[in-house]
Amino acid sequence: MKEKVIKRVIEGTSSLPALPVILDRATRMLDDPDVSASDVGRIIIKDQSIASKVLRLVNSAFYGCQRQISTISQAVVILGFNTVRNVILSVSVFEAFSKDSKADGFDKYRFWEHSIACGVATRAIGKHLGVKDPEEAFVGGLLHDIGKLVLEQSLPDEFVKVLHLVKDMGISILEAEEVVLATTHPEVGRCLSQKWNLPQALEETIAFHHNPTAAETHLKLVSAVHLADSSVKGLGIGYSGDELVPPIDRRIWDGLRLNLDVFGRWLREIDDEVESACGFLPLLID
Amino acid sequence: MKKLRTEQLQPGMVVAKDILDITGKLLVVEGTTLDEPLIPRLAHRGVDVAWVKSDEEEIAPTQEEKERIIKEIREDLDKRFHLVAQDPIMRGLRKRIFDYLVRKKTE
Repeated sequence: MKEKVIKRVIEGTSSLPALPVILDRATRMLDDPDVSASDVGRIIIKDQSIASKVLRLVNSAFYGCQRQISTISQAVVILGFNTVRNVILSVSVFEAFSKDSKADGFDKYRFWEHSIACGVATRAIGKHLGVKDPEEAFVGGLLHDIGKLVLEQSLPDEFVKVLHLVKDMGISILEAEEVVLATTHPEVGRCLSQKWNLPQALEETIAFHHNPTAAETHLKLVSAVHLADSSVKGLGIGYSGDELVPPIDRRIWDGLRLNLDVFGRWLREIDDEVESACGFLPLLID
Repeated sequence: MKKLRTEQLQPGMVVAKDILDITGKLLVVEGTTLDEPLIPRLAHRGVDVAWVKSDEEEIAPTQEEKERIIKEIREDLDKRFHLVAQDPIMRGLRKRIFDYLVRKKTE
């Protein structure tokens, strides 16, 4: 049953869109040390919609750049390959999923609010945990629940049943998915990230944010997403299919030697940063 | 200039800082005089606080308002944490969030 659902969702004639070709080409170019900033610019500009969103984003307060960035190659020079790659990735994923919800009762706008807040929170927590790349941390938090979007888009009727079960039984969306679909959003999300050839770090945050100790090579980053998810849901920011705070894994908590006083301070920091990042959303979904 | 919570706003007050919704969209421009129909619309768009022009000190919420806000926060957290109410870490986390939200919304 589980394999069947995943196969139907990921491989079948589902409505799941492909990632824009641009992303794959840009990622390969950004990994190539011989490629120049203007080469990257020339590729990205071929997809006008993505190029213009990338420029709007890099000029937003979120990236805190003093001067106006007017071309992609300039963005690469000023912000670096890594940041630009992550911006392109975020924009491409937003483009790949429809803006309107296909499942009744699933508020897409508030879902993205939850996702962006998780991105911001993962970046903040990741900094304290010593996660090296803050941009990767942001994208890891932003995309961790992508499996839910796949389910909502590909199996809207079943997904509505999941949402009803959450409401009627007071159970988490993870449990409800298991009951209705015999699979879960982390599993479906993992298949999608393999299909889309997303970086290993993102695949792990998508697959293991509910059981972070299973992470293979990016334990710190996955732990940051895991903690961010509980923090954001605890603070009541956005909506991700249920309103229940997922439990923090004791092994992660102890392993990272966290304590509640320190974590309480991080929560305040997260809430402040989420407030200042809230201009991000309209830039992505317009 | 003083910061007021949306329910404290009154018609005739003059907005001292642009009011944005949670997504950063501009709702009311600085200098606008608030009127009767505008105020409930702000709350509806998720605006919690607004800066208005004033010579006075900030008005603290009344005891009654404070109690109502605290009750709302408690009920919301009861709902959010009901599956993890027995977990000591999550109980601690809930307390930290409760203290933080109470301070943020009543002071």
